[in-house]
Order: sequence, then structure tokens, then C-alpha cells
Amino acid sequence: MTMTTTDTPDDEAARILIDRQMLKYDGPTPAIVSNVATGGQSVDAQPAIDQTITLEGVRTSQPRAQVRGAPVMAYGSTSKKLFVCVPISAGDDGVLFPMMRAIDNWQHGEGSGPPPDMQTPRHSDLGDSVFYPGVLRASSEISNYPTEAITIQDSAASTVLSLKEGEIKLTVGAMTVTLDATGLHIVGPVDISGLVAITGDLGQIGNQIVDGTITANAFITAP
Amino acid sequence: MDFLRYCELVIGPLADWQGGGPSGEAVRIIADGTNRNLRVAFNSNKTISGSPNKTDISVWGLSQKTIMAVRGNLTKIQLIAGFSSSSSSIGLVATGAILSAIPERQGPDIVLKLSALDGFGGMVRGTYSRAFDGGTPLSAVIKDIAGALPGVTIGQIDVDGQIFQKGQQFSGGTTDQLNRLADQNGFTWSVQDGIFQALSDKRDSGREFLFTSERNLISAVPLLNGPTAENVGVEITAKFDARMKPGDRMTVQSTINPALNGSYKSTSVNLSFDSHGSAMLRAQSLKVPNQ
Repeated sequence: MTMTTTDTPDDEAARILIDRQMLKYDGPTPAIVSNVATGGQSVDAQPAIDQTITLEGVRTSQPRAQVRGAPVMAYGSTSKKLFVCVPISAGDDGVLFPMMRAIDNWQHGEGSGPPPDMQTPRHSDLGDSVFYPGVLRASSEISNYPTEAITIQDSAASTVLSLKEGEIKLTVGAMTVTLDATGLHIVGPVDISGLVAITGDLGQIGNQIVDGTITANAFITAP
Repeated sequence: MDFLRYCELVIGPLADWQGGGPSGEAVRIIADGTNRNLRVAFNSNKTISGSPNKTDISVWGLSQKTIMAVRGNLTKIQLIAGFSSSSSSIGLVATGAILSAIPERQGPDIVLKLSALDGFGGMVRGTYSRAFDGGTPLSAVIKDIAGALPGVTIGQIDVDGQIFQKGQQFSGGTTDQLNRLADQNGFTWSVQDGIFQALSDKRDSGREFLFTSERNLISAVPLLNGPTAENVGVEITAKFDARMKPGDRMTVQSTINPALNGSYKSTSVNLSFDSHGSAMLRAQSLKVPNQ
């Protein structure tokens, strides 16, 4: 601890006491997924920052205990049963966010209710964390990270679903499908195996190659 | 009638968390209340609350060589005391680690002042990291955590209940984890003479000590608490008895203050002893509901 010139011994003692007390309360901590529940609703996660111990001047570290059954943060509506789901598997990075009170009865119950019956409430404990998947380390670079659009994409940006004001765009390699106010624009071959019904005019620039038969229920008029 | 005191002090050779080492290499000091042997006095404070029991010991008349042989860096110490005339009264007062060993001059004498903490070496060294599933019995969890206190033997664990549904993870200093679990679940833990014990707040250790005005009780005063001065327990002064530990049941039978008669759970015990002076026990105790 750094000593400033205005510190009194009492100030220093109080600071150390507060620091030591604060160490008893957990805060958000990066963690690595070790197991995912079948329904994806919770994960077991290993805190990724070890605890350190200094004995007789020798500093060592020791992994913290694994957090089991941390509920996964999933954007969505529990009443409508609609969710944005991201893939989570063992080895994934994320963050454990401890709740202020024990969440046993919330996680395994319905509605609201009291915390478990404890003489002194458990609070700010890493075991009562919610898991946020997908936090990025310095090595986890995302190519072409968007600055104007919301995207769902792989890190190499070879497959991208992009949404911004007035435009939805799908990209897979060189193939793109863009929907904007002027229409649907496809760059790349289109393979349709079912019936295509067109109620408006169908314009074509270039040749049409037909491998099969063209059947017309009315006249085909050439300009 | 108990008269001559007996006290035996064994020091080292290794640290307490290393188990003390071979007894043949230890420093052994005996005081029997006569002038043929050394004078030893001590004051030992024991609590049930998880903080290490502290014992301050004074030894008169040691040679310079012996004083130099006593090291202070958590060397193991064992202290036994009682009355020579009653071997059953002789018991272990403290087993722990020496924090400091300082020789002082008192008139013509050199007095070696020792300060020792019960199980301290293991308490400062113990670290723990493990998660338990919901439904695990608390007694099993406590036993596992206490097993991470080097040099401390697991003794009585009398705690009901289980880990709540979600499970619980423990990471950090072993004593911090035990304190957290004790606060949440209503029990006390402590290291008494190198032996770990955990007792529910609703129960005592089951070992009973009888204090009567005729035999050993010197005084008993009520412990008052709160704005209504509710009588929550009793504080007694009695004849020295090293066998009594915090957590033990005290049955008081006072002819002077019969209103205090009854059974209590001791929460702290103070033992003061001088091989050439007085030997007393003071204890604070609480009424235990549903006992």
C-alpha cells in the first residue's frame, strides 16, 4: 500500500482494514466455461483470475473454486419464450457477475421470494453469479468490427448478418443478399427448387438459359 | 485441599504447523511450586469465536543458553498445568505457536516473556478452494475446510443443516471461509489446544463442569444485555481447572446467588496461573435455548 505524506497511522490502518474487508466481497470476474447444462440455462465456470497467497515473503497462486450452475444471461422474453441464443461450450470466456443476495430460491423457483434462511445473509458471493458469455481477450480479434451496423458474424467476417437503418445484408464469402428500400439485391447464383410466384412484372437483362421445359398458361409476349 | 501447583512447558523444536518435531529435542521446563524448580506463570484467554486463543507465559530464572534456545518464529509450544495433589486436575492449557519470546529484567531476575497463539501457524497458512453441491451436509463441509489448517487436528463437529440448493463455493483463507460459513449458518468454530471444534449455537460440547460454592466456585455474577438488562448468562470466578474449554457446559450451584443456578454454555475461558502464586479460572457463559 502506498503511503502518502498526509497519512496518519490511523488512516493507514483504516485503509488496510477496509481493503481487507472488501476482499471478502466478490465483484465481476472473468471466467472460463467448464460445463454447460443440457438446456443451456446454466454453466459451470472456473474463475480465470487465481487467488494469491503470500507466506513469509513467497507469493504463490491457487485457482479459485469453480462456480457451479451459474444462470446464463440470455437476451429474450421468458414470458414469450423467445431468446437470442449464442453458442456456449467448454473453454469459452465470459464474466461472472455476482448478485447482491443468494439466488438459490430465485433460480430454482418462480416469481419472487426470500433468500435461503441464513443467520447472516450471503451477499456479493461469486457463487451467486450470473454468467455473461463472450467477453473478449486481447487475442480475440474480430475482423471488420462494425462501426455502424449491428452484426452477427464469425470472427473472420466471412459470414455476416448485418442490420443498419434502411438495410439488411447477408454475406457468405463472395455471395451477398441485400434488402433495402429499392429492393432485394442478390450478388451470386440463385438456386430455387420450389415454385416462384411473381405477381408483378419480371424484368430480365441478359439471356435466360432453360434446361427444362417452359410452360405458359397464357401468352408470352415479346416486345 | 489442593495446594502445590504443577506446570510443564514444552517448546519446539519445530513450528506448530510442522507438528512440533521430535520431543527429545524440545526444551522442557517444569515448575512444581517449590523453590527447587523454576517459577512459571501464565494468563490464557480462550474463546469460542474463531480467533486464536492467546497465552502469555513468564518463566523466571532460565539460563542464558536456554533463553537463546527458545525461538519465536511460530515454534510449537505446549503448556500443561494443574494441582500436584490432584492429578485429575492437571490438563492441557495450550498448544500453539510462539509469536514472541522476549527476555526482560525484573530486579535481580531475568524473565522470559512468551506470547503464544493456539493453532496460529495453521490458521495463517491455511488456504482453501473448493465448491460443494447443494444438499451437502454442513458437517462434511466444515470437516473438509478445517482439514486445510496445517498442524490442527479435527475434533468435535456438531452442526446440523446442509448447503442450500444452489451449492456454494469457497475460495480464500481457510479461517475466512470458516467464519463466513459460521456466520451464515449459526455455529462457532475454534481451535482449542490444537484441536478444531465446531459447535451449533444451540448446543454445547456435551462436556460438563460443575461449579459449586462448597467445592470450587468463588463468585458468580449475571451477564446483562440490552436496554432491558436481560440476564443472558453468567460470569464465574472459580478454582483453576485447565480441562475446561470454551463450548463446554457449566453447571452453576451457588448458595450465595441461587437465582443464577443452572446450566450454561461457556463462550470464553480465562486461566491465570502462577506456580508460586494464585491459580484461577474465569469464564463467561450464555444460556442455551432448547438445551
